[in-house]
Amino acid sequence: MITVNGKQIEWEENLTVDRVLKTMNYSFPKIVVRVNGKVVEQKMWSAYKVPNDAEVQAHHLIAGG
Amino acid sequence: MSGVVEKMRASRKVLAEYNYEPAQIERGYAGKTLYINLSNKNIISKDVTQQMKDIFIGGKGFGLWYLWNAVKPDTKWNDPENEIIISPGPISGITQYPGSGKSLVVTLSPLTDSIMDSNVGGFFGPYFKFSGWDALEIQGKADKDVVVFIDGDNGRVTIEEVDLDPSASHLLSDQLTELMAESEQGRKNVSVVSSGSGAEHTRIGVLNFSFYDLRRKAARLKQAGRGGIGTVFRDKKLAALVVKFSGLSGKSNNPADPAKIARTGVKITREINKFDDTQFRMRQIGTANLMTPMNDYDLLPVHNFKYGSHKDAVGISSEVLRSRFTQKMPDGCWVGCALSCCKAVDDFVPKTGPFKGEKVIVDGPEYENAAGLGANCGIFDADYVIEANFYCDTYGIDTISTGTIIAFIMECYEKGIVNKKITGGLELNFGNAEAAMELIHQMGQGRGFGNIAGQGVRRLKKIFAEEYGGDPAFMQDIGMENKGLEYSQYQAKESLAQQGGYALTNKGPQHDEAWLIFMDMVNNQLPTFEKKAEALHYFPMFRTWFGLQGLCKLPWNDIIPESNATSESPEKIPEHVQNYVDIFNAVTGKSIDQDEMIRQSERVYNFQRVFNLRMGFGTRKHDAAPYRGLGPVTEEEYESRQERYDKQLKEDVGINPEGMSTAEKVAAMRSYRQGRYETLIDVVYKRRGWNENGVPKLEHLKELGIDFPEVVEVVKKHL
Amino acid sequence: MKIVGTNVNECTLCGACESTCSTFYYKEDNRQKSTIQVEELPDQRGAAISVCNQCGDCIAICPVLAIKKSQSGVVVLNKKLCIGCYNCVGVCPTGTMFWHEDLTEPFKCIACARCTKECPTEAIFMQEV
Repeated sequence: MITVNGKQIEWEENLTVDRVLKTMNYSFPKIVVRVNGKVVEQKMWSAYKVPNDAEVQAHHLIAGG
Repeated sequence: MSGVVEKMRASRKVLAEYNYEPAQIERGYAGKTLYINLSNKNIISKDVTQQMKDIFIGGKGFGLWYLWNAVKPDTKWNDPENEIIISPGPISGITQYPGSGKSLVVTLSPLTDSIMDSNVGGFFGPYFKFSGWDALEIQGKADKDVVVFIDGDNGRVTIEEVDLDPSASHLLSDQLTELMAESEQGRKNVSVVSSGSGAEHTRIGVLNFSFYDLRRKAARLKQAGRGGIGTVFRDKKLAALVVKFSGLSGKSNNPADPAKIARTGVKITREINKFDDTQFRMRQIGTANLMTPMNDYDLLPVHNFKYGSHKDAVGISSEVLRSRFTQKMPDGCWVGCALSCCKAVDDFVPKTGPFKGEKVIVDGPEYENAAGLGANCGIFDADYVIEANFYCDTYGIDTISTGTIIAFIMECYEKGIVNKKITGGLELNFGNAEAAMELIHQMGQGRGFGNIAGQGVRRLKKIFAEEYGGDPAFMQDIGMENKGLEYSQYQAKESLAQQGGYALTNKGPQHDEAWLIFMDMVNNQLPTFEKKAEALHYFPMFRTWFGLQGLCKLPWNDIIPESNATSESPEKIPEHVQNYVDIFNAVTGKSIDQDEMIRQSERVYNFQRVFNLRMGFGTRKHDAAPYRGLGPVTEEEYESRQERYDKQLKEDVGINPEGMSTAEKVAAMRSYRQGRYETLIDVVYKRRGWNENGVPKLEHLKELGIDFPEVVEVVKKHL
Repeated sequence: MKIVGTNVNECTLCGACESTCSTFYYKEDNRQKSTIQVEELPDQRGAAISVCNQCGDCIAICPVLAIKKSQSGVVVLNKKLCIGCYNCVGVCPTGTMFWHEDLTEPFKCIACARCTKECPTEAIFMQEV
């Protein structure tokens, strides 16, 4: 299990940041991702492996109305 | 000069004249207020006191103070003593920092019967201030249509009768600009405030503030849109306000420390140039950049806020709208705004209505217009959205209220509460663009069913119940209004904090106080009631501040500085907050900090709350939200997101949904969500220094320094 | 058209160009009020010379149409029309639309050639482009 923005999702082998965002339906283009507090740059999202029990923060930079 | 304008010029008849020596601007203030009474044609100059500057700052603060002094608790929106106050605020008119040309308009609203405020761009506010005035107070009513001219170049104010047609705001703005300017080059020095025929026939009239576009050679329009201020304007028989000021320079606001403003301005202007293209693309798409992500995250209101997305929404996506904007360069509603979110569709040819077949310029569409007029009514057609946007503006009716009203009527139509006989033949099913367009024309021209629709959702609920037997409880659930004002266009069912951001407001459900949907629902930064309440304290106070100064909210968080990546509280954009503190100090010569900034807002915010109390509103019952804004009202709504709701019942409510009927599940969900909303109210009131009924506590008012005898007198009745 | 061309390898950072420019246009010897500015790059990487290449990117951004190309192709800022918003400063790709805290309006090189006449090493010169 990992938590993404406080919500639990299943962990699997070779789980990438890309995969996590896809699972969460996070399609917004400006997201700052932190895995266990450490920022993972966007160019690393397809390669970076999220470890089991990780706490992932996907902070959407959206200003809204 | 065009023939129409020549005729207008020949017809000018001065009813009253006032000559004055324009006040020198000192540190953002002119020190004078222009009071005009349309009943007796009295024009006077009033002093702006030091106490007003200290406590109410300017902008909305001045508007509220003057209105408080003008009305009695039983004053109605259409009584002569009701005022329209326009005030730009001390920072308004600087050219170096983006978004610094706003005006704040305050009046008693025909929709809410209480206090309305609206923040609007265009050149009027800065030009009016540089003509020597911090605020314009308009009281009384004329017997015939009049125009007020303010000539800041020559120090002359007149009330005049002019032979003109006030029905189409885009034409009137152009004509009066031409009339007031001495030459073609001088048109950029003129700004017009006007409304349109729709404001005469509905309660949702807007004021259009013009800004002259030198490249298009046309007056373009920005709206003081919410709450029917245009309706009050036309009820006073005001056809237009026209200001002329020719001496604009980078120092017109005469700030205490121009170098500091320049430094701060250059810094953010460079930031915008560097990052906007990869962040929100305000310069390319403006607020319409939100259309696609809102649909993707199930937040775009669809079918009267039943749903948050639609498969056809691609028809009005951010990219589709961008492809319709025809401008070659970014443009702003005040000179020098580098964020430049204004967009236009040039040479648009409407297919219907009085301008059918003619080429017009459409300002927009912005997010709210595409979401409200389009998605919320089930219409995913960009041509429709652009045409509806154009007609709402020129008829002078609010696009946001229009969208929410038509969506409500469409749901009532589909439920059989109203039918073709009642609508005069309009088949107002969701998605019927032709019928919706015709309804907009009827509202704009005061014809047929449009006369009823234009009364707004709150009055429609009553009319549909009393005249057509509609179920009042059901309409209460689905009619998206609070305090009488229609909701703006965000689906907030899954964000409790935003439900409060909408309904725990002073003027009604406009998202200008707080927009917390992503912070709350997606980023999960507000997991507890206390955190939600803290956000519902801080953001409304912080954002109120823009309205005291004459500032736009967008350059605060629609561009994000590099420093934000390492910030402790990125949602506040701390670097930009400090920019605002710096420019306030640089304009006024004061030395406030970020805490005093929030205090400034708290004073005015709480004063407005007390003012609501004085007018018979402002207590807990007025902060109730329609259930459509909190959760699924109908079984079809529940079933459309069944997986989500079932999971919530199981995990959050602690009920096993298996074996329950949808009706039972809807009821269980409702009880849970309404309970949470009530808890939120308790916690927010406490954080704001109010009692459990939403009344500001006396010690809180004392602490803020607004415990004036007349304020205490109002509050004491409720304690 | 003619612009100020540069050959940084020849620049000795003597500042004659800056003095000439600010003295002529602003009546004071103050390099921060010069429309050409030279600076020493760190790590002994030599000199950098900032002067407008007359690209005209600032023209489209000006909200009051105060910036135009003259007949000779030089980009000129009309200070009478300018409202001091610095949008042109923000957009300038070469950082050569300058501003100064004492001055309400920004300022730029109009290729008058005065500085090139004072340069002792021909690090700057008039160039036809």
